[in-house]
Amino acid sequence: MAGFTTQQLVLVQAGVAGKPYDIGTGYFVTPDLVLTASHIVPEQALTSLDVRTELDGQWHPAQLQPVWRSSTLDAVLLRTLKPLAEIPHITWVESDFDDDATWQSSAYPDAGKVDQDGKPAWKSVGLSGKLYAHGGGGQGLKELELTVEAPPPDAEKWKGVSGAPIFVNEKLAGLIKEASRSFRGRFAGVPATMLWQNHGFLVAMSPPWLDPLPQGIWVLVVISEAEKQTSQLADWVDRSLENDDKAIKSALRVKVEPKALRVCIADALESPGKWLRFVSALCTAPIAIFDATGFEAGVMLALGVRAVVRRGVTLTSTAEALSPTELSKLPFNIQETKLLYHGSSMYLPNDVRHPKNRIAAAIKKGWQELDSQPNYLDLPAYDAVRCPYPTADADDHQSAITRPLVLCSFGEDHEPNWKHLANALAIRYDVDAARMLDVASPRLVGQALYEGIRWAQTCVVDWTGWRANVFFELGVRLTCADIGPVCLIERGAAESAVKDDTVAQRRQLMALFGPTPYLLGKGDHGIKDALLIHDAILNQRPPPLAVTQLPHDATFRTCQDRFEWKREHITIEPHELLRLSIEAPFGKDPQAAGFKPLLFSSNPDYSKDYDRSVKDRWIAAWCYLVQRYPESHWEQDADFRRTLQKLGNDVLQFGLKEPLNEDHLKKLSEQIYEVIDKLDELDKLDDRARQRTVQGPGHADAN
Amino acid sequence: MPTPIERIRELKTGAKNQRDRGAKGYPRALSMLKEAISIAQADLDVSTVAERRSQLASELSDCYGLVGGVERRWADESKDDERVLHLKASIRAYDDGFKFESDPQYGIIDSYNRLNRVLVRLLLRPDALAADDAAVFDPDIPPVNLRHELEQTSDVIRRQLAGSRRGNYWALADLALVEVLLDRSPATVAYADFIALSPPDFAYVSALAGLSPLAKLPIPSASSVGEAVALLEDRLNRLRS
Repeated sequence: MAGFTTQQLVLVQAGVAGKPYDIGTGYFVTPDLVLTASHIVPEQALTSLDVRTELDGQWHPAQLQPVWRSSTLDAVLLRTLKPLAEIPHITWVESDFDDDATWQSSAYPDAGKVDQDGKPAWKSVGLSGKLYAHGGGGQGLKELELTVEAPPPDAEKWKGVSGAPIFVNEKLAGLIKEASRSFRGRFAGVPATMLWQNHGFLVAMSPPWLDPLPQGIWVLVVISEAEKQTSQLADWVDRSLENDDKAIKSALRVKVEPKALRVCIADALESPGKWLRFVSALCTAPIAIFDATGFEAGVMLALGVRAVVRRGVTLTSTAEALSPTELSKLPFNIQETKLLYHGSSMYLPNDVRHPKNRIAAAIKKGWQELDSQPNYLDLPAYDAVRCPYPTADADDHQSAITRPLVLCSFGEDHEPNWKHLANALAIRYDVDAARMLDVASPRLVGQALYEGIRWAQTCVVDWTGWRANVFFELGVRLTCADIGPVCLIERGAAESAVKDDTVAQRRQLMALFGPTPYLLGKGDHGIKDALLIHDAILNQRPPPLAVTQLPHDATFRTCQDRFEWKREHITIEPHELLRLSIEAPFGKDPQAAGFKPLLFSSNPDYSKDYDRSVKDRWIAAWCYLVQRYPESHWEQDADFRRTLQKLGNDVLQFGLKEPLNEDHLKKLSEQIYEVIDKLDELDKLDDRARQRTVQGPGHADAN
Repeated sequence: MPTPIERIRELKTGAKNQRDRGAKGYPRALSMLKEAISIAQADLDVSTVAERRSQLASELSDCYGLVGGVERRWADESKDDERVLHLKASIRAYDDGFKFESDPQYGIIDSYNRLNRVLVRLLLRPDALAADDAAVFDPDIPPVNLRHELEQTSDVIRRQLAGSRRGNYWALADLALVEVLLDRSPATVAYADFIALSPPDFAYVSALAGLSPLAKLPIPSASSVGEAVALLEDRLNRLRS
């Protein structure tokens, strides 16, 4: 263990126009990342950011935009433009202190400032003192409470000490954030354990991977661990993208990146940082294809995440050709999906069932349907987890919120585990825990299940049996709830997973999510311990974790940062929402089809009434948009003019079709024609102005 | 920026609205359709993907059909030479649309241009319905035996209705019109299937736009056509009440 080194200590200097520099202390925690306090790096109007290494006195410029910042924790990570050659490995404190300890550091407080040829110069000042194991708790965020030896008489003289590293027994325990004004000679520090609970910090500290993600339309292929060496899925995807390039472009209306981004699930599960970077890819990939061969736990977990964060296009494929009997035995969550087959041995390349043909066709069809159907889904859960807060039964003891939900195997061999778990939960909670089998609601299983997964305050996941369904549902819970699940596994299953050399992902999953082992029978403390941790999380005091473990809410928070919120229906403007509500059933040109797509639409009374409703929606869309902005806006914004003109034409054609039998509708129709004519005139004026700009000034006086 | 197909559809909708304005909007409707045709044709000339080509051909067929419709309505509101001029322009447009509609490489299943190219010829030469010979117009307008062509159209639409146009109210309206025109069925029988579908009001409006000018022609089935007009008007009024 290297402990504190002067090689990594830096003076941080942040420049803001018209103000003196902000000075603080920082510490290189990787060759190019400096950890310091957030308050010494202003969030706005920053003009320069430099760090001066203590060892050689060299100044190193840093990117003005920090790679990570938490104003709540008061910590920030700065990236220097040029990394240091090498730095000693840092060991972090990963647990709370049981006893008081001695800490040490070095910093650049004003107390150490000297005058050098009329300019200020900061001398490093060695610091040490006592860290109180039982201080820094109480209300608000957990802090480190430190005393410091030989404090200056004036607390103001500590200015510049912020950001200094706190070392205890050669391990980095946190950073100093402020000197106490109430107690002379005391500091408050940010615990390192709190930093590692932050998903953004985890990602920033992890080595670059899948970075940067492609832009535009691209395909993510998730390869199973067993198929890592032999899977042809990604090859077939690349082949499809290459061979069917034009047809795919024609269907998608944009070009697709010609090479898919390949990720083996075992690589994604290697560390918390990699998992979170992979989650970002799951959020942003416009098209994702999963190799579900063998329904591996890691792949199912990733599918669960994807199912919540993105409304398609997601394809699920297997290398094993499945018979109808085998298909009927598939995991419940997979049975609803259209499973592709990517083994190539069964068909000739020119066969439409061959993977290279099937994949291209599925991409095209999926994209077209996603584009035309607002409620397109190719995985379960997306709409179901967006269910409202179940207020109707919120006070009921059996509500989806208060009732602990257990996600586990329903197999007969798991029955003893369920009974053991149900009894352990009954000791702790007033309400009986329930599996989906035990819920009395007559609602569709899928709806009730995902509502529970989203809203249950306590969601227990029993990993025993490594069931595909359970891991899909675990992925859903991790993504849609800010309180992570209580993960448990029977001790025997846990030991087998750790010993098994053939499947790395089970070990990786255990390391990443840390399910608590429990013992069947008497003398088991596992479930009780796991519930205590869960209580601490509910009380916003999550216990420290090893740096190799994923915080309970990191997947949720990453998805919250990265999901494509523009695709969520709630952000749609009213006129677009009304348009979509018509186009979803009737298509973009309801006159072209020649048939009425609504069920029972030949019923004349029904037909008449929905026709009225559709027309009124067109009118409502127009009334909204034409009134929404002042007319001066029409002149300035050509895109808006196009939108308004298109809407006007659609309203006239589909909502106010002549002959009209109500006078005020005739008047409205005339008004729309007038607006369309006006917009036409504005377009012409715009075109003429543009032409004049292109031609430049006249040449009348050129001679 | 809209895609070419989106732009074509926008122009088509705009053109329909200008058409519905009457004489005031016809020139603008035609210029919009001309723009749509030029976009579609340019894209078709460079496209090699069969699906895309079919989509563009279908748009072209539709655009030419719309041009034919605008010219026919313009003719309705014109007299003498100007009327003839617009009717001939309408025939040319429907014939152009029919080239795409009937080209097997595009797989378009429709009867819009097929039927209307005959109907407009009939408006120009009502006597040709009873004639054995093909009706001849200008050198650039192919001669067509109207009765024979209508009988063929009936067969084609029946086959389409037995296939992918099953339950299609446009096809049923087209078939009913042919049946009435050929005096094969009374209006109530011919339009029974169409009415049973409870089609939207715009389908009635469109069917009436095709029928009404025919009712004024000196043709043997004029009274049946007149009954069909009365029947559809009554239904439309009920729908709008």
